[in-house]
Amino acid sequence: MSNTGVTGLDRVSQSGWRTGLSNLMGPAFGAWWRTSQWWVQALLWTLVINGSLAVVIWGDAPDELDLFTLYGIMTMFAAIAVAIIMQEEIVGEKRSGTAAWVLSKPVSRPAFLTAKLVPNAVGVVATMIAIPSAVLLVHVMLAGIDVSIPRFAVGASVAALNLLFYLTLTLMLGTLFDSAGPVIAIPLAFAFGQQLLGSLPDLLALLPWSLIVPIGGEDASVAGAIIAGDPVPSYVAIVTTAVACVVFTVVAYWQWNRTEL
Amino acid sequence: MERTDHGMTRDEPIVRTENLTKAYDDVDVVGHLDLAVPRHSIFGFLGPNGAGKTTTMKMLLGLIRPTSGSGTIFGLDIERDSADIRSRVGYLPQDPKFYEHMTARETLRFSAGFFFTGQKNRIEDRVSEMLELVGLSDKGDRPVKTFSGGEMQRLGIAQAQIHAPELLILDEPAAALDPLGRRDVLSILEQFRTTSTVFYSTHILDDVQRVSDTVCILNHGEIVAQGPIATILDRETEASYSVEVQGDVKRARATLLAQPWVEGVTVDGGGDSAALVIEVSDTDAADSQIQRVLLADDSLVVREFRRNKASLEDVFVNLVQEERGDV
Repeated sequence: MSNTGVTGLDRVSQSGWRTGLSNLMGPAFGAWWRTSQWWVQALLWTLVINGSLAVVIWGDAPDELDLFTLYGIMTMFAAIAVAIIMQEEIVGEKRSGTAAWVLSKPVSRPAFLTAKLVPNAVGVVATMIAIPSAVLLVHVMLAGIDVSIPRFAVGASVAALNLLFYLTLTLMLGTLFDSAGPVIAIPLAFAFGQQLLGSLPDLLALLPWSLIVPIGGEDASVAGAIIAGDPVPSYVAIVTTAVACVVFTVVAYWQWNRTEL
Repeated sequence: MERTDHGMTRDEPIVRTENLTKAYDDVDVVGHLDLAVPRHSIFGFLGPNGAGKTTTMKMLLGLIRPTSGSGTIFGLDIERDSADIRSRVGYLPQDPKFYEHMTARETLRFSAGFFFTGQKNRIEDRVSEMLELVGLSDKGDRPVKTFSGGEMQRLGIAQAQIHAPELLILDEPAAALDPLGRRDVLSILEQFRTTSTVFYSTHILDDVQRVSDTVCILNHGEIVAQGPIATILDRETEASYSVEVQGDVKRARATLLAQPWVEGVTVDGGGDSAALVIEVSDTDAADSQIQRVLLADDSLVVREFRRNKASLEDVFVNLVQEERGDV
């Protein structure tokens, strides 16, 4: 392959689905970690989660079950923020023409989508779950509440899975639609619509809602029960949510490969 | 015969399509396109708005899938080998948009990152060279969101050329520019002629006539003319002459109409001075005899005589109107 006119520069040698990936990953991670985005989100969710739970921790004698279930519920607001953050990731680039510009370079379509999925997933989980949860753990320990760090980590991971559900759903919708309306409306409608299924606990037990909100007269959500060391109402929602994340991701890659720009 | 890569000879077109078609809802936006872009040409891709120029370019780049037909660039298949093709092509989109938070320098660095690795100082040198080429050296550290349309266009050319591609595909490169900016861009395109092939779309026909050597005129997704500009102008132009005479204009007209190779004479002006437009069937006869015939009449003075040459714009308008059935 010739490279007329540019001497002394080494050619990039990526091929296959990774073509262009490393060059895309840098700016995509940079959008989280080299801007104010990471500390604004981390500070916001640290304050939201710890502020809400401080009432329980420092108010009446804490009931651990309620405390950790409330922790899960508070992460639901982060899930909504994820949908808002992600809504323009694909649609915005399709509409502005930057997706077509980037894909006119030697970039594979899976690489383009991976550079949306991975940096955002890392950014969201780190700033909306990991950092606020680490602070909460210290907060809880300072209050003298006994908590198992491994169980807390697993519970936080379940809350993170709920966030990833909305992240992959929004990503998939971005590949399916050309305007931001349905991309934001569908995740929000789904998030709030689950509340209306209270009379169908068997169905609700399959949905990500049950990961972080108690259902069917239970005292604890899946995440809350795991952290508190209580019997977990059902593990099914963990499986269905994880499977949904995979399905959404596969559909997103499939659709993006056939999208015309 | 000297061969380049993939068995291509230097004389073979660098871009070739066969029956390339794109249809939406059973309507052909681009229909059965047989395109041939010669290597090292500045190839003007002309057509009215909606003719299918951008769709064709996007099919060549793998951004849109053809409904049928095929195409090759450098002998590589536009669908199967798209990534390999794109590593050797520079593309300027119509109305270019880049990431708004990046500066011009960062945009070029980002573009360069798809092609080059390591040696950051050399990449920086290349970025500076490109900024210099398009006259943006003093604006390199400004965010692109503050750029005017013309500056975006220049930056677009710089990012397309960052890896010195063998083929530049430029969609309306001069559309957003003022006359001076257009002149600069055309001058840049001419510089690329020795190292690259430039395939660009435009509807500014003066520009095409100034820098292009080969053109393709597209209308309603179909090619209505393709080839070297000189050939198209000759083929599509009816032979005619303009003569400005003083004297008995009516007698001059009658004398001309009496010649077997004259098909018609129109007179503009009256009295004893007028401009005649003479349509002829035999240009050799006309070249040698028009002035002789007129000057045989001592009362006539021929003030001006010239063979009319159609501009590309005339040819373009005629061809497009013929397609529409207006002519």
